[in-house]
Amino acid sequence: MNRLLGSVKRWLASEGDSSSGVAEAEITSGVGGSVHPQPETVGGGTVRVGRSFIVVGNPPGGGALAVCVVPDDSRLTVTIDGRRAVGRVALTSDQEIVVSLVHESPARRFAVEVAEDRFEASVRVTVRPGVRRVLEEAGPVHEAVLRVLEEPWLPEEAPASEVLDLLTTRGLKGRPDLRAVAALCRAQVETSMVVLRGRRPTHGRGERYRPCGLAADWAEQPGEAPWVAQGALVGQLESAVPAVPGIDVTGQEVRVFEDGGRQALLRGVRDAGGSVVAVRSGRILFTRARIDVVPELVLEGDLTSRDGQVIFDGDVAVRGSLQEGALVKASGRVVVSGDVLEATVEAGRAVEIAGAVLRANIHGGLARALYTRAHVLVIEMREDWERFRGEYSQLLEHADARPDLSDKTHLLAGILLSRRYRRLDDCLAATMTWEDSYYLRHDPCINEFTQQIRSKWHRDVRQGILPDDVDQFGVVAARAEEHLRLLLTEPMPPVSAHSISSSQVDATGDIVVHGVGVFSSHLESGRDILVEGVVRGGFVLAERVARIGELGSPVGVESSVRVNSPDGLIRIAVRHGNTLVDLAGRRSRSTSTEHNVKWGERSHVV
Amino acid sequence: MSYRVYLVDDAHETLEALRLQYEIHPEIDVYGMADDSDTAWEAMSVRRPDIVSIDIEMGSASGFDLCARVVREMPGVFVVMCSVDADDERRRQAMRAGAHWFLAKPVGYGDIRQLLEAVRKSRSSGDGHAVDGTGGAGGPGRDQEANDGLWDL
Repeated sequence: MNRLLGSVKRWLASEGDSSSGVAEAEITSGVGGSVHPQPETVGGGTVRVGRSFIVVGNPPGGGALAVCVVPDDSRLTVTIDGRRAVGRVALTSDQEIVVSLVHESPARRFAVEVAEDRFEASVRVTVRPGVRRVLEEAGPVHEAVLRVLEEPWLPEEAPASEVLDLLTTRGLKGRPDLRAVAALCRAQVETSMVVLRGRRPTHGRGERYRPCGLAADWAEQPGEAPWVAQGALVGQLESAVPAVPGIDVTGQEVRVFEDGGRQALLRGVRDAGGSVVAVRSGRILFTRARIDVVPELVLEGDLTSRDGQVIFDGDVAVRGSLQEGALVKASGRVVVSGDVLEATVEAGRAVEIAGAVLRANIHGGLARALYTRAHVLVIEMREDWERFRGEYSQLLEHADARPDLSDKTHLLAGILLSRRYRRLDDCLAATMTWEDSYYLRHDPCINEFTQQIRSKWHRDVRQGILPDDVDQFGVVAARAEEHLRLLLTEPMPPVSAHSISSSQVDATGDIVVHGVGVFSSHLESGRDILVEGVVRGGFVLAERVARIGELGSPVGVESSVRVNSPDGLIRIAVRHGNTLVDLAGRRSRSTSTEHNVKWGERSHVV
Repeated sequence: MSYRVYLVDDAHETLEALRLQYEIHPEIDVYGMADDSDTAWEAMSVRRPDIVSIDIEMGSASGFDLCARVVREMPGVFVVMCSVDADDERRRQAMRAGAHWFLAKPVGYGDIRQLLEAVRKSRSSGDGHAVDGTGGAGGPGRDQEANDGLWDL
């Protein structure tokens, strides 16, 4: 008890009266420092209860002693002359009365959180308020009942060094945000703040062409591209921007590579001292991967089978309708101002049909499908190429040690390919078909790749492949892969029409039907399908999202929709009976009409 | 190699969509379509198809009956059951009826391509009717595996 008393006294000295644990009777007897005035006595003895003390006054001449009722409360201990008192006790001023109250101290804890990219470190402070307990003040009265009151106790401001030391302990480096640190030290509720920031690297980029003389944002937009005349300036070479390394919060340097390089210039443009100039009139094609001026064939009026097939390297615009038996095949976009009736359209890029599509076949985005296949092929080739190169190097070393083989090393690569790398050999042969495609044939980067294969690696010419050729192939293949990857970042070409009946329509991009709807047709999209009107009969298949105004009919025409992606979305405003919805294999057949059907959670909006 | 295809489905809209799907493949000739079993049987008796696609539910008639009859009386015809109901029980029923393949609606390009590969494989093995696979188009990955596994039988 003496030890407790001592600690209470020390605490009293630091905290003041409000938390005093020493009874005034003891203090007034000379043990403590401060003296409380003796209460005036009236008749009998008196007791005054302070927040953490009790002051007793003896009765003047022979009256009744003051009484105190001490509750049996774990938060409160009252000792009188060293013995714990509970219940109703009589008090005299010469007793040593010690009041001890149990408090719950506040706590503040700091924790460091480093961002996934390690460019920021945050400190989270968790604050647990404490509870300070005091006696309910009373008196002076003859009899007092002690009651324990609770008051919130907030932590005091922590020293900044507590946070800074924590950062150092975690091995973090950099200049801390001292204002944030100070705020955290003062926080009275849970708070998280960034206290340390690294320096992010600045991505550089190689030389590249930027569009000029044209609207700033057209290059990445689907739809009508600007028309330019021969000789027009369409692009300007921009200098390279070097990459600047960064530093993370652990003090590590973070390097980044320069992005991309010059776009491939297709045959519709040329570089004239850093300026890209149209060498023919047509529609501009300007992306991160390539620049071209695509010739445009404009056909006035309707087109029928009597006009023959229209096959054109570029864009085709038909100012009328395509009628029975007509065929338009274009490496670029096809725009039809009228209808497409019993005709076929094949487009390397987008297809826009203002009117109806009836008993027709429409294929959009064929070039992209080609790029996708080519990209997969080049990736496979490069995978095999790495293994091939390793084995080739080993065999070359063996051959160098054998004088009888020294004049045959130029045959080694060819033999290795045909005997042990059949898949690579087949892939090399497959690239020869690329020359049948307008876009692949006239793309300088792809052309460089195929020409190298044709001149050195094709089965028919494979006679003198030297180590430098092997290395060079790796470089060119890497360039082709990156170029194809960039081509695949271009917007996916859509197909749009007013309505579609008894027709087959597919697109690598979106299919949008903005008129009355789709009837007895098959629609298949590599992305999203939006039908504002009705889908009645037939099949609708999308990769990501299908949004349909009305599916089926009140009389139960069988109609079905499928979205392949498990995180895709199907939304149907009105879904009739005898319709099927399939989201990545999760199927539901409807027997009655439902409204606002939503399957999947994707928030993407077509 | 070209294949004669006959389509049977009580929904005209579905017949039209299926015809478009099949005809996109140059080796396919959809020479006839019917919306009921009897008409289909008569037509196929006159000119036997290489592939017949049969809907399961055709009004009061069951496509399974037509399937079993074709399998029994027209050996060599590759029978495809095509349905919006594509649960395991339906697939098992189709298999029991003797179907060689199962297509779940909606049918996509990939589904028809897989089917044609199966038909070619069947033909090249010289056993055009003995395949008891019932894969389908419930989902590309699952179907591909299912079909592959069944064809290995």
